[in-house]
Amino acid sequence: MTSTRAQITTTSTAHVSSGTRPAVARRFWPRHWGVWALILTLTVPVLVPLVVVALEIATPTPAIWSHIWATVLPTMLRNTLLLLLGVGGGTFLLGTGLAWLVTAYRFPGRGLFDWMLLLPMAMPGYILAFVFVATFDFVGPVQSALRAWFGAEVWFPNIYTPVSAILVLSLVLYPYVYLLARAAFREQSATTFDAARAMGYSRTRTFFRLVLPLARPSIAAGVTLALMETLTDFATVRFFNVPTLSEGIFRIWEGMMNRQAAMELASLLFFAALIVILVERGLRGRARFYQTGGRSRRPDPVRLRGLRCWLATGVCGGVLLVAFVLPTLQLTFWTLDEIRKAGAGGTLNVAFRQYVGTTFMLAAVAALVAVAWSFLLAHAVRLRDGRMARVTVRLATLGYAMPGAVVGVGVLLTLTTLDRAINGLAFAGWGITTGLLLTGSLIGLIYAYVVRFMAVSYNSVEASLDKVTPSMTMAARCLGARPARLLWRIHLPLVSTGIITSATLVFVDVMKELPATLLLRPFGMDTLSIWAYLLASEGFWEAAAVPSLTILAVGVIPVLFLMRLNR
Amino acid sequence: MAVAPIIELHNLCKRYGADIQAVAGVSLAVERGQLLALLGPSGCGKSTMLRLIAGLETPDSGEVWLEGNCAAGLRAWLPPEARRVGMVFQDYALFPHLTVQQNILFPLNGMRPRERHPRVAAMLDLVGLESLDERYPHQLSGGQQQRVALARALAPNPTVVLLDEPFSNLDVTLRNQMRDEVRQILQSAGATTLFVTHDQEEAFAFADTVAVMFAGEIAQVGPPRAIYLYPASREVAAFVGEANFLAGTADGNQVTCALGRLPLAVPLYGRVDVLVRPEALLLQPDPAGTARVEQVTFSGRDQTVQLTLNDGTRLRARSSPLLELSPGTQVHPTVQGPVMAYSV
Repeated sequence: MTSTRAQITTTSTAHVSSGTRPAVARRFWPRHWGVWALILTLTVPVLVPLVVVALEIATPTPAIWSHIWATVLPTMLRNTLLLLLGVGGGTFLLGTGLAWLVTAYRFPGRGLFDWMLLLPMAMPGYILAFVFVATFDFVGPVQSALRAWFGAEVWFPNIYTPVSAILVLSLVLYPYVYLLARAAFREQSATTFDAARAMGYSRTRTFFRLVLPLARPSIAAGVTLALMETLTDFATVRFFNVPTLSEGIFRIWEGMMNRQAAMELASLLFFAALIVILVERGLRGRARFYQTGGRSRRPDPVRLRGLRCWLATGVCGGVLLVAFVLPTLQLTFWTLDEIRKAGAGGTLNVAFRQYVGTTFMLAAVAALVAVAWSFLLAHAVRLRDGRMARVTVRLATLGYAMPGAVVGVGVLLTLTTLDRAINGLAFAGWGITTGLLLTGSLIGLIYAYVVRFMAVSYNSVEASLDKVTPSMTMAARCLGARPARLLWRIHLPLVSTGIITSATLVFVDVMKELPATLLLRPFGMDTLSIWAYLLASEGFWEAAAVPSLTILAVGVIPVLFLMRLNR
Repeated sequence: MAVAPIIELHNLCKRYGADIQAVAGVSLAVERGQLLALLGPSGCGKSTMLRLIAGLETPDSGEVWLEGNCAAGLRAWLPPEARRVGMVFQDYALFPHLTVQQNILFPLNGMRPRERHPRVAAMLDLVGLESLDERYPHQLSGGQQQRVALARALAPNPTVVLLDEPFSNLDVTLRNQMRDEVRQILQSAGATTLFVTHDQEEAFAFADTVAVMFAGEIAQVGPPRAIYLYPASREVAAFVGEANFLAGTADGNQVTCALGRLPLAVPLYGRVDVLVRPEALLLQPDPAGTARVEQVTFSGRDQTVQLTLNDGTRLRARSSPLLELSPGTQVHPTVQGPVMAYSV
């Protein structure tokens, strides 16, 4: 046997080498150290504030726990779970359903709805919530009118329930799912769809068996974003008197000034968020769907007829009306009222300009930093793809699932520690006191925004980077591109859409952000969202309408931009 | 006097997870200008070998030497961009946001600007796509995309070109045409080529040397003819072509089996399995013949005949379409040339 092989292989020119080897070997110490250094540099700062809070958990105070368990905790837990389920289901149904409707069918107004359905993205939950409360409250116009017509005894459902909160949150958060599902549907090629149709599947069955599973990673990402927003929200639920974990942390923090209790409550939220993230990872699974060999044509939308066509128009129009048009109209009326009251009003004008400037600057800087940060991270992970890298990234994007208040507290604690260290060093070295350099500065606020919104930017950057097939990355490297050139010439242009998308999402989110801003804003610096929230929580609807409408208007610009890009 | 091989692999190993040994101690050398095909069933580790050579994977142990430099080893590592290796991927991996020209320009970054465009022109000329330089990849046919990928890989004048199942995305007619074309392009560029395929016909037609791989190990290296006619093992014999195996007894230079006494290509003793390729069986209609025709599948250029020998052994033969055979005919089979046999 062996002799046979030997005899035959000697006829070959390619031989099994006998081990004469050239002497020079280029030395290369720790493999991929550069990439790992980059990954760690990008991850550690974002993780520190969360770890700081997490460490507080390690030292529970039994007195606090037994107290909140006996009083508020069960209700908070129940409400939080209810909200997660409700908003998860609501955004999935609305987002996926509407996305499929405008992608696969033709009906009156489809072209308009296609982009207009994204508009509620500009509407923060707490704004829709206070408009909702103002409208349906006992003293609001609806109940007043009903009483005027049917007498004082007329029945009206209680609006201060979790159902209202779920409704409001679903209406403002579904665009996350809509945007990602729609993009996923559009990327699917007509041939796959036709193949299923040829196998005897109806359009509806094809949707459930093929289109939906293929879009699963995108939809899961969208729903996760919505759920994280839900976990974070404290203002919307507060308007509806629905105490949740996040609301509780904030209430304990600002009301009782019991920071220890607030932070320990945050531990629970931490686990809730962790579960959401793990479920998303599970849903996404190992599924990575690449569109290889160029883009193929999209499936042609089908024209709906008769009742179904008007039903489609009605559904899209109804959602848009309730989630965006009517509240915007209401806010506009209030604003006009307010301007009339203020007259030629110097103060309103000055305050307004200042708030807008501050908010815009904060949002732009935060978006820039967050996107650059996540792109570098996604790029580095792509180079050093592996379990460790992925776990690291998951940790780095944990901030979004954390309530803004907890991120705020974490950043506050981190910066205070840093300040103290700088102070100590400066005093020891030069005998000077630097005071609080970072705490209460703009850097702190931007830092908190980046920690909070890393997930937003990272998810969309990573998702678009997924469309760059691994072989493209490998080809570029084989063709002599060093990591920097690979980033600049291949990854960046190919994911430019994803980058602009993610920058827009972060921008809008920062504008709406409330809790962390409330905690970390430098003294005397107010943003539009804080202005709106504080006034609305006091019941000054008209006054709150001015900043709210501005948030809406500014929020709409990137949404429009986003739409044009996604055409 | 031995010229240093372009590629030298020393005892290369790569494992994925705990139980997938993709490459298990492979040593191989490829000479300058050689066109070597790595042939094996899917999952045998041949693509991993390419990626190890290109630097897209790091070996667990063993070494990769390129042009006399250690590219991967215990203490040495060259990143892919420093290896001067051209790779053509199964999906071509053209950059969708760059035109044909820009795709080919991409690897010429280090070249003086003055020389870049003539080089691109020369490459386009080589692959016959001069007129399509402004097109984007999605505006090209599969064959054209393939040629762009090849031009792009060849443009920086790489030490070695690696092709990962390059024809598997093309339809059959185009595949044969591209195979000849690509081979010609590579030969005129004088490129040393390593080519991965699971299709033995492709490997034989394309390469001047074939390395057969099973389960992460190289089973045999040799010119296509040697691999086909004198496979080193039963496995290789069955993988690279249709094979009949007959039980027999070898006594040095000859073997006795159901087809009579046959000369052996390699001396052997004892109980063996004799390899008889279907086309090595010559059939002659003969009422007193020892074999009976069971079934005939006519395919134009030849016909496949199922035979049963008198002792019940079933065989497949391939014969000229001119020979008229029908089920039930008695034939006399004779074997052409010396045969291979394998100890059992």
